[in-house]
Amino acid sequence: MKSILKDIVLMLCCSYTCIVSINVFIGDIPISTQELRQTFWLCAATSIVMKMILSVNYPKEWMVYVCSMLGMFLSVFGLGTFVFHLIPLEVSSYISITVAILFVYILCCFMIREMDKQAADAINEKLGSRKKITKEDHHGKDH
Amino acid sequence: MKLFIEECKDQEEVEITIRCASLDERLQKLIEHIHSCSLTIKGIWDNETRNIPLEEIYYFESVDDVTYMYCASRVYRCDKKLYELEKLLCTTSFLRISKSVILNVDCLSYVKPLFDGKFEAVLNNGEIVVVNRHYVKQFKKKFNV
Repeated sequence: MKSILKDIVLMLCCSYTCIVSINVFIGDIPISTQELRQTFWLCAATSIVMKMILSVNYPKEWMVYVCSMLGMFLSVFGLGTFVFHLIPLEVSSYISITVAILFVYILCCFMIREMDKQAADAINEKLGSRKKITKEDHHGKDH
Repeated sequence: MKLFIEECKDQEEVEITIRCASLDERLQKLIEHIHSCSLTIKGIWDNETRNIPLEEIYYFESVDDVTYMYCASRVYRCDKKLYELEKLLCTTSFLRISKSVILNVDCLSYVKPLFDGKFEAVLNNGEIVVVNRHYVKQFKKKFNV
């Protein structure tokens, strides 16, 4: 439960910062307090949806990317348009927000994976040497 | 450390005697290892009960409150709960890798990183189990990584 909440809060913070930054630096749109509040709830809902999508064990890796892309787009687009009636109502704005958040998210995932790859290599090396020793032991016993 | 091995034809059970001035940490680890070598877990298969040596067990899995013990080609039912097994096997090569699985790392063939910080562990018999993100730290620690 603790790790699930941690993930949701992390995703919420990242996506909220991302959307607000896009609006301020790229969109150049002044944001009111109400819009900020709406954005916050939109990000919170999206983070929960994303966590639900990522909790599933997918048989193929590409499915994770496709499902998270679709899930994020649908939650940003659906919730933004129909629930919160957020600022930009054009589809292109929602697509750009989704792509921007997803880009940051996938970049983070790749960085974590690269670190994990190194750890996996170290573990595999140890497993390999351990097996080599066991084989040599058996070989010695045979002689 | 001197090691004496005596082979006796009439000996039914293996006997190990340790003679030492005092029990230090290394010796304690050796004793724990010897204990784990003689440890067996009761497994039920087809109404038959068998004591399975630890090295034959690949992993334990809890499904719907029932614990199963996976060996190379057979799955036994175990009367112990996963938390009891975790406590019992904490000094052995067994390690909790998810909420429902305890894995024998000696039966591990290789590992692969997955998306979202998880690891995929491929066992010697080709079976695949997933190391959940919450348990990755302990998993790495087991291999001193």
